[in-house]
Amino acid sequence: MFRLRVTPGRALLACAALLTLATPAWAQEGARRLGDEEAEAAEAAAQPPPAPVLTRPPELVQFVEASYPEAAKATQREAAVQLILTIDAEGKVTDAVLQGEPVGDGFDEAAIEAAKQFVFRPAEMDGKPAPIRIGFTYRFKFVPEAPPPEEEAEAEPVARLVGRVREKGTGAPVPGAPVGVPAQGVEVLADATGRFTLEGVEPGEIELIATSPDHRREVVTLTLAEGEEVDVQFRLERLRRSPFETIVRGEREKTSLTRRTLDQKELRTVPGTFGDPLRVVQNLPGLARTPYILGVLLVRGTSPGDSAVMIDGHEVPLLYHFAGGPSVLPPEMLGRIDFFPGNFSVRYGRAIGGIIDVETRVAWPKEWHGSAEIDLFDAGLYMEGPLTDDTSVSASVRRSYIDTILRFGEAVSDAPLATVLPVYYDYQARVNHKLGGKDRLSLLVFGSHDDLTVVGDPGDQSGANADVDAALGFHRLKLSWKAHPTDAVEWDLSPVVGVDFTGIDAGRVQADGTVVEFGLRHDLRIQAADDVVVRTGLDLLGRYVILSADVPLRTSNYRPHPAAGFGSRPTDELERSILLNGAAIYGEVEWAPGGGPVTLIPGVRTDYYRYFDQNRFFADPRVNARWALTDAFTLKGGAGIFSQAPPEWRLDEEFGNPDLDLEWAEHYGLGFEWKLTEALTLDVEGYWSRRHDLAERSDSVTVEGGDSGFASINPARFESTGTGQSYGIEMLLKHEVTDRLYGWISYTLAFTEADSGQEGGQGGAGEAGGGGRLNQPHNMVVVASYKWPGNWETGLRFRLGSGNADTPVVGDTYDGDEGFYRGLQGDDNTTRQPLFHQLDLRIERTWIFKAWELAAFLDLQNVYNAENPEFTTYDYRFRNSAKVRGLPVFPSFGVRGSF
Amino acid sequence: MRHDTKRTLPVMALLAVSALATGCSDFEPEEIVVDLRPIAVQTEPPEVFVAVADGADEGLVLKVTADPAPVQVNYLVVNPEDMTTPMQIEVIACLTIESRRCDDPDNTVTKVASLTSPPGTFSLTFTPTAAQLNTWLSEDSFQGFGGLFVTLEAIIVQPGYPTEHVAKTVTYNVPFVPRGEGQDPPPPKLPNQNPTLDGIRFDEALSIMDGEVIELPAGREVPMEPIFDRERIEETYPVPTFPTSADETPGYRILDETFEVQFWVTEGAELGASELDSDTPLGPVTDFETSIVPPATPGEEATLYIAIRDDRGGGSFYTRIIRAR
Repeated sequence: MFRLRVTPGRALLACAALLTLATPAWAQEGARRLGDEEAEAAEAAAQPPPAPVLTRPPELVQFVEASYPEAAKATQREAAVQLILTIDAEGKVTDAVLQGEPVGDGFDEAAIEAAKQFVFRPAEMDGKPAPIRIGFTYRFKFVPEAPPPEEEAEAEPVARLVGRVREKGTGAPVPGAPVGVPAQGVEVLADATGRFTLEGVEPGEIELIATSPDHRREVVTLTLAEGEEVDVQFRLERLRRSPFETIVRGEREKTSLTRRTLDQKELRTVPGTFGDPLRVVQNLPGLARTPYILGVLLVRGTSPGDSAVMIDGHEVPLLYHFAGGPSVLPPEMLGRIDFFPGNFSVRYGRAIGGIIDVETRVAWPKEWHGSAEIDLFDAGLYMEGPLTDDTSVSASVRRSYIDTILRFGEAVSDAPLATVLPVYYDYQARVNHKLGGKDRLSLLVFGSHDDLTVVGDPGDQSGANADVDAALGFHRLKLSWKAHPTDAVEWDLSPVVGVDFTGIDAGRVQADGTVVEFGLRHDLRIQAADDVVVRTGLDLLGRYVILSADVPLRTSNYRPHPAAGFGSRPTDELERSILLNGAAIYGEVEWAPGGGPVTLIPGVRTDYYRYFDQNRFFADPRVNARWALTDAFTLKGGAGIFSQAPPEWRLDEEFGNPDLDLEWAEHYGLGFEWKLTEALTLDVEGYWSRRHDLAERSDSVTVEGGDSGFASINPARFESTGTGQSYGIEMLLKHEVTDRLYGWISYTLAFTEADSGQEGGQGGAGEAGGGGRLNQPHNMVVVASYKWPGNWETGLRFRLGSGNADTPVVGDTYDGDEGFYRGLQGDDNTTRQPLFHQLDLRIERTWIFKAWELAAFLDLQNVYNAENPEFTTYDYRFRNSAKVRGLPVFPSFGVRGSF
Repeated sequence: MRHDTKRTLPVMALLAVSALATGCSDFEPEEIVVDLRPIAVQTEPPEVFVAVADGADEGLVLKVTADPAPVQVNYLVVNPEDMTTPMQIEVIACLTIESRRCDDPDNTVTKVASLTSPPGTFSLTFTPTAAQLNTWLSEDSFQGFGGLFVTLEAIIVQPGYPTEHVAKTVTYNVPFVPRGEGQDPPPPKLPNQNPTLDGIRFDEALSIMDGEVIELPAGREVPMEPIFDRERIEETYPVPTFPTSADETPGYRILDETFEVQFWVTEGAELGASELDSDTPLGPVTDFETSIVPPATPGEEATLYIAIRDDRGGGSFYTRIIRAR
């Protein structure tokens, strides 16, 4: 009988709830952490890998002194020979060639001969030793022969310079940076910590110069006294990405048909995403636009529950605070996000839509770094640093404080208010340890907590005003052991334990749920032959659900009167302790016959589920193939089976149907990747997927018995009768992150059909696809960001796409039992909201100081305040309607300091 | 083993948006009656016990063996703009479905009555036969377990106004519930009764006559409270529970009725809370006081309509004339 009556007070409450739910993650820009000297090796990508990153420059460990050429002794001249050294991945100089004009007099040859004997600690690209070429200046100074012992030469008065070379803003050391006084011909290379000692400097006025290929040179003018020691601290400003020619060893795995990867730069600076990396994914093809700021994933026409979000391969229950606020992982902890819209590798399962796998960042800083950010709604801290040479730690914490502000406002205004008090916090901490060789051990702990308190308005006359308390959150502890027992074998063993909790206390509704979760992944990679890689793995998941509730539930064993609404149902005490298990074994082979242009990746994953004393098995065979017609053009295709269990509570014996089948889908895809230029790629894929045995709500009842009685009445509640189909084309034209520019154009043409298989349910395909009100046939996103001189960066995002589908109301009936009108709905999703279009802009400025950086940005969503209706609302008689507009122009800004 | 939170959280967010949308619109308020409006429907009685065949002692309405007692159906349909032009009224009956319309091709539809009446109150009698009830029983997915719910759909046409469809449920039931294993004997099962108001208090004055003219200060908010015997109208009743497996037997459980009081006024007057529920998911309600603001001009009148309903199809309606003084 109870009906949510919307009064002005409650409407204001809902407005405030929506606005506080829309808490953005302000100010997330931060400098690249140069302290990261090693990162995990990149995995396979369907797209060409982004440019490798120099994570450690080469370090000279063995200098060989050249002989002063005989030919030059007569002139006793000094010389500086400019060389280009090619250093291999083991640190040996494989080639030394002259750069620029020859010096002559034998200096060039002597320098080259000596340089070829240098030994370096090798450079590292993306954390792995890699070949590199560097510039090197070999300086010659004539030193006359020592005088006879009986002649005591008068000691020359000299000075000494000591100091350190570090990068401006980050404070990271610049190892190997040449530091010297060119006029005196003295030079040394900074050591691994950036420190240097320059002996034998003649007193007087000098110019001390520090340089580095990646940094702007710095000149310090000093006046030295005899015997003086002066400490000089250099702070070099970083120029741009490494200009060195690099060779990447090994290629990323290409076991999924389509894999779209975003790196750190792209994760933080896309306009309209509040600086939240996980929201950037929603701008890629294959994902429908979500209304307002809802943080759900709508992948190729599937429902949000059909896709999985993982952190380091383990699924997490929540991605965003309050379903629309900041994501539960701050940008500093993210290394990369991979999005698989379909046809993903057998490594992933228990999903029939798409996969988002967030890889957390592994940091090996040489020094302590950190950042602090604060905005209108939350404050956060991040720190990372070395515990030992082989152990590093990073940690982050964030907490909102809007509740404090609202309580303060209530106290100041001295009037009772209907108050919505959201509180959220999240935390992450990680310890990384080098075991030896390439073996690594890491421990990651992270968690999130959302708490919402609603304090009712005592002045509201319309009915009960209960205070509401709701909480939602999770905690996880994950261990990872990456080992390389042989050159051909590597594995990753990763157990995880965690707990999820939900709770609500709202008048008659009381519920507390706890889920204790255990997971284990073991991924094994074997280079079986030159052209064969085998991957196998184990994916275990156990979930123990404990639920205690006192709620007015959908009735289980009696038939209520049609006029008995939600509010009139008696509360049922519900106690549940359920163990749900899943185990999967998978294997796949990546075979490139003869190392040739064709790569085949067949695989199979077998999943076992056990829930409510039911056992289910499912085998998912999948195959993907790639054919590199040229270095720049690759055809790709794939097909596969994907399965998942229905949502847990639809399997409950009392309120669901434990006989539901597993839901499964077929995915098919065909497309190409075309590397148009070094930085520009085009990725096109056509897809088709069909979904089967989806759990749908059912009104059917099975009555067994005869005229004198009956054996049982079984309302089905849910049945595995739902089907769905999605097909379309996705295009991504992407400019990789370079010195100044990145961006992409994404376009999706998508159609979705769905049929519940129930009488009176959705059916057929219409203009709106007949299934899913959020199905959008056309969806285009343009993203671009450009870095200007003076550390300014501007960006834009423009979105153009179909409006949401809608179901028209074609009539109304006054319900005399309940006292309100009921709308009579027409065919599902056969009308559509107007075209959606929105422009978002972002402007950002970074100030680099000696020891720290300050970044500030302004992000303006919906610059020209487009209406973009998302829904249609009706009056009480369904005779008049009004469009509910989308978010209006919405500015956000933030500042962040880091050191 | 997908987490259901992914489904529930977005739904909660969408509900918040929907509440936002409704509260922030410019639609005419529901409690102000401007034109043709069905206000309330009453069936007397709201629940009819039927005679069933021998052996039907497990809470089922298996086979009706005799024509049930007639039901009088009383309507309150008003039109402040035109209270004289007759309405053409067609009433049909069918098995109750979610839409409350008799347009499901799988359900048998019976014509009940055709009549003409000006806006206001009008009545008719519904007298289905046993054969008709048995036809509906065979179409009911529960085969009558817990009751047979029949919808009366009135299609009301007054020239110049949109057609109104008004639905009301009549319940046909058996006078017993089964006793499950280990259960105490069930309490007597009585047919549902229509809840009634004893009066309405306007500030200090009590009005007990239907249609009474109440004089109130013009334009000034006056406290208003429906007067009723809560113990009498909040009935406790048993319902049969069905077994869900072969090793279970039918039984019963006791439920408590909830009720609500709803108010409407014609233009000129205003209301405080227009709907008062006895119980909500957020907790029980003990305060049933609301308010009314009479027209601003002395001498001007507005009509106040009141309905009280329980959650088993029972209800009553009343009218008062509010005159500003």
